[in-house]
Amino acid sequence: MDDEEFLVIEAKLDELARAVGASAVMDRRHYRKPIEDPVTREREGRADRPLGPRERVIEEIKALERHLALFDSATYQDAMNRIAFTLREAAPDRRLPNIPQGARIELDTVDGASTATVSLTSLPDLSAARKSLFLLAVALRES
Amino acid sequence: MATKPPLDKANAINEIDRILKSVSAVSTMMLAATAGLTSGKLYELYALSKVLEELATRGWTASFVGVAITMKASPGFIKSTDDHFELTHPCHAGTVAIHTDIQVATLGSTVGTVTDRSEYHEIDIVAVDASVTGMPTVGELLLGVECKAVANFEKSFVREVLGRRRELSYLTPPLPCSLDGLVTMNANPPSEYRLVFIDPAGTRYAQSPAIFSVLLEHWQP
Repeated sequence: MDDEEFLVIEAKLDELARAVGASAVMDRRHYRKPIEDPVTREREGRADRPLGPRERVIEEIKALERHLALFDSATYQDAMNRIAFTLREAAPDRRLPNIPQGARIELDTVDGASTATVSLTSLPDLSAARKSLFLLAVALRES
Repeated sequence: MATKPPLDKANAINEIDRILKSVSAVSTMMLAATAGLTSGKLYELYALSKVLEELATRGWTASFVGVAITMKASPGFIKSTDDHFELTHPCHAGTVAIHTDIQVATLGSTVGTVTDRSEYHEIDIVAVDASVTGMPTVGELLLGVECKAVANFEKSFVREVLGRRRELSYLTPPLPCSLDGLVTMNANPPSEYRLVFIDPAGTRYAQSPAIFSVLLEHWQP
């Protein structure tokens, strides 16, 4: 695929980014690579340069996957499992330790007395979408 | 074995469309005003699990005090009634507590008279002696972790943590860390301080902060 085709793919990717609240991922300023050779740096008068469309699209896809991970129930489960494992390993004589029953966010209140909470237990399962993005990035790199 | 043909533009577009449809049912949540809070706190929870895991490898024994892990939407003081983790270690007298979203007094407020909003900074995950309540001082902070739940790492994150490090400790020759003495910090008070993030690009900014004992760690779910 040539650069023009990658630009068309990028436009479609922008639609996905906007749909999941990740428009910032498509800011091209994020995607630069360092110029390692000092002679080239001196000649170009800069320490890095922007990625071309192909590399940039691949990096954008990987960034979108990272963004989805921050809303994925798999991330929540992974964290809670790791905590439970750490606590169980530490429990004296392997007795049943006190394992946290979930995780929640305590919201800000005007009076500081009342508490409203949002649970993190009902996040969506985004693992399939994340895997699809990962595989898409791999396929584009090989194309 | 048949090999798959290389991906072409049309197939790539179709695949992105398919992914778009698959997430459409939940995109409202990711577009909501609270989306940033959700993603930030989920990453904070993830980082908390990694901190506990790592401390266990350093010989710390952890237990949980409370019912559920509660993170605050806005930072505040340490209250002994908050849900928290407690840790013990053979090399540390007493019990250490781990809390999230805590306002920590600045070094500036220790050495001078400070009464404005620069009196404290917010740290996502802190470790202090279990007896500490209220706003910990720089001498009471044993470990601080900043979590960046952002898909693309930015250099400004480095400037931010270097500034916070400035407000936690003086640069010194190596001292055993306050937490367990197992690592050294070029800092006094020798608290451990780290920035954790999901974008691997952040690892390319690690060297200069390390001089000032700010550890950059790529922790990606």
